[in-house]
Amino acid sequence: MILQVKDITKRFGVVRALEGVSLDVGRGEVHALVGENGAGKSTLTRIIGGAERADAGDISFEGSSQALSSPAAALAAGISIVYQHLNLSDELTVAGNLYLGREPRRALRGGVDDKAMRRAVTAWLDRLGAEFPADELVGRLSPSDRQLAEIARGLSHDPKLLIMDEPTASLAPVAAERVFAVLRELTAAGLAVIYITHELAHVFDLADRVTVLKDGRNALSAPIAEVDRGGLIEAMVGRAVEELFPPRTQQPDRAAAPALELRDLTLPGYFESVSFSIAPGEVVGLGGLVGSGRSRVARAIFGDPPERAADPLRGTVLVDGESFRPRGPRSAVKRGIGFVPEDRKAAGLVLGATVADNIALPQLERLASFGVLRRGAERAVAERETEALRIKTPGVDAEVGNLSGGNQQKVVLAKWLARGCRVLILDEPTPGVDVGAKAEIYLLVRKLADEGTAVLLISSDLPELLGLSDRVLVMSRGRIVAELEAEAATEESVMKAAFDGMETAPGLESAA
Amino acid sequence: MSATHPSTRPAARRVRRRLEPKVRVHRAVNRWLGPLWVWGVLIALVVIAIYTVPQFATLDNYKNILKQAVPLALVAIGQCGVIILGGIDLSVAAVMSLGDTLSMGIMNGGSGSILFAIVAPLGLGLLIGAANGAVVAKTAAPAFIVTLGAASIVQGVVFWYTHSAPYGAPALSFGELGFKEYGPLPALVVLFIPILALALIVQNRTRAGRHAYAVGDDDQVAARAGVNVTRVKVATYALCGFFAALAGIAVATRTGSGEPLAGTGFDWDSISAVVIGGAILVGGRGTIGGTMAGVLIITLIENAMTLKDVSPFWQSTVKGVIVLIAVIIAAMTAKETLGRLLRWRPMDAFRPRVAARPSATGEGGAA
Ligand SMILES: Nc1ncnc2c1ncn2[C@@H]1O[C@H](COP(=O)(O)OP(=O)(O)OP(=O)(O)O)[C@@H](O)[C@H]1O
Ligand SMILES: [Mg+2]
Repeated sequence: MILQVKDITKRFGVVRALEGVSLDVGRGEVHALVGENGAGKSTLTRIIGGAERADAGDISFEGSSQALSSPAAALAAGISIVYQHLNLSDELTVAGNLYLGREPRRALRGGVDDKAMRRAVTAWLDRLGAEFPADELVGRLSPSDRQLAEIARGLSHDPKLLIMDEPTASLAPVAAERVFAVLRELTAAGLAVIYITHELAHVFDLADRVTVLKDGRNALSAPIAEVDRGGLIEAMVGRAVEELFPPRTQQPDRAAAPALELRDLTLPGYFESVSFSIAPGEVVGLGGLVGSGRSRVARAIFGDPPERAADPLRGTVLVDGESFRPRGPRSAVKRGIGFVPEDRKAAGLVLGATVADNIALPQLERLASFGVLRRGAERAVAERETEALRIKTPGVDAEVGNLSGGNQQKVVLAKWLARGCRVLILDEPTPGVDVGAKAEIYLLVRKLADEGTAVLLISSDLPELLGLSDRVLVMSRGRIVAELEAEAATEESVMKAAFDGMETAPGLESAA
Repeated sequence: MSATHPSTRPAARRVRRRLEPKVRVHRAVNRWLGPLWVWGVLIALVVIAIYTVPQFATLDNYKNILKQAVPLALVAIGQCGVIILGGIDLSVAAVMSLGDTLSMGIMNGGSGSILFAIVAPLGLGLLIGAANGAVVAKTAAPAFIVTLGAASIVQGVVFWYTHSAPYGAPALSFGELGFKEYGPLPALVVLFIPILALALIVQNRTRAGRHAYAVGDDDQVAARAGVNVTRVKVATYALCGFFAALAGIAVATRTGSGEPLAGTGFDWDSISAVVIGGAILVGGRGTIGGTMAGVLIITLIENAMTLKDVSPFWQSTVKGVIVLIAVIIAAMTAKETLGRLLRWRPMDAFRPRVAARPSATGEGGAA
């Protein structure tokens, strides 16, 4: 055993994050750690990594318990962590981040040896299949690329134990495969890995052993061969989740005037001639590879400004048959468009504010009389939503920043679900959300659709895309290349359309 | 080494391993010089002054501006470091007065103790700065309040030391320094150049520089990466104190004695220079190069207004307006709105576009 964790207990005020948790990890082992949102997985991670101190319990790493007093000490001992919330400095380059705190010096002239740093980092980026340069500023990377940079950092420390807290939550599936391949190579050479995820498929793909936490306690620990998917879910959630996706009860009325219509929407350099319409009550999925322009389309509809003023948005957006000019989030919200962005930290949440404040934010006018916020009404709405989405929080007055990752995501969703809107755009709504809560979210989205909301769902999670959508559009290189009815669509047909599109779609990729 | 996996990567293509040379040059220029538009503003101001201020365009006046700029430049270098950290140092003015009066007091007209008269204030400045840094790093107290307190304490000590009157006198050789010229440049400027070079190297080429940016951007991220955040903060504030004391000594070369209020106004001016130079007060951004442009802008405006006989009260108002404009511009660039306008290249409309290259891993070129 390289790591032995015994009877760890940790409380935050009244919240019992961990209660007597134990965990053993052997050399060369991939140990999956799963559990509901708020089960205590990340807290355990931070304690092992020296970023947080346990109230009670022992941890021994390679037979000694010295290593764990601070992040620096844990790193020096060979424990490296890929945190759930990205831990990179936006103002430094990728290389600068990977070597932050241990920059190599130039032998003769002194100063930081940028060249050596870049070389070493480039080797890792190559190995992981990353396509961004080592001297790019992290602030300019997409969420998926950031995640990859974060993983590269974890690996570049050359650790004996690598802890990965939902490393693939915002990673494109193809990139995830590549990461897994690298992990397999390294574990074959003796690296131990603690792998936290909500994607049970990854657990069975990668892990040798699995431990389930429930409400801060050990619920199950077994070799992977001895458990199956159903058993795992039951241990996590405490009940069986048979049907992840709610049945489609009503046929959307496609003859009716569309709630949202795009005509030849073009943002030069990002997407071109995107046209489609969504009927009231219809859920339209937008599939395709990360970078195919899906998020751009969503942001354009919502009125998020493009990076360069030289790129004017062309084409028409119609909401309920009326032309709508996306001028910015305010006008979009007014027009009844809700948007759950991909980058939830940047655009979705006020981390320092309470759960209630966050949920009430998009509908403040409605909750106020004569400009004064009615606290009672605000709380009532927040309480209803936390209940409905089973957001695990000590109360609606808790700071969102203190919630577990998955529960933060649920708050983002609650914001818009509570308000209700004409058109709801969901960009990757469920990374980091546990199975049980996913089922709840799907149910809510379906319910909103049944009440007449038009939903545009962008997701890299193919089962989710297919299970929830009435119709699936596939984007590739900034164009819509296929339209599939839900009954006819399969994971293969969506992927095939996406890749075919890459080979044949004209135009958007220039000589570069 | 672009391994292609036919099954997962249909379009085999070269993966970019370095940024495009154009971007690289742009970034390097920005790191060493700061935002170019600030230098543009400086040049524009020079041109305006040449045409509107009668005695402005003389060689003597240029020398004068440079000479006047040196003390502020020194303070601003230290302030720049602190602001990059996300902090602020309001004690620089008092520490500067301390440096000025203490060195003059020790020298007191004799040349025997010149070395001690320089080293002692510098050491004291370093200590005061380190104390500021330690309190800021170790407690949750805001830098604003901590350094304001330090300012009050230090200024009080200066008044006690000088009995609130001009105090001490420079040694002859030392006093000459303020008026001597080496070749075409004032001696003070010549002495300042290596200091500036050193500061630029620390900012751009050393671990200390990197760590300051990382701590300013997010100190928890830095700490988790193994950076000793406390040490970075203490060292940066200490250097700020050091530079403030040095600025005090520099001022002393030009006044006949130690002035107990020698540093007055330098707190606000140094912060202004740093912010005009493109730094943001929440930290993580800012450059010494840009700060130098800010210093020159402030000095130039003061100089031009003095030549035009504008009353000191109005000078203060004009400076305030300029700083406010700079802060607003900086905030807008941070939000990318103005940044987009400034980077706007009309010819782009006619160029073929490089698309958002769909990639398996991310939005590479598009993001
Ligand atoms: N700093 C903190 N202050 C207060 N409560 C906290 C803090 N950190 C964690 N908690 C609480 O501890 C519990 C466990 O959180 P943790 O982040 O470990 O969950 P998790 O298993 O990682 O969940 P997820 O899958 O959503 O990431 C949660 O109820 C959370 O709200
Ligand atoms: Mg977590």
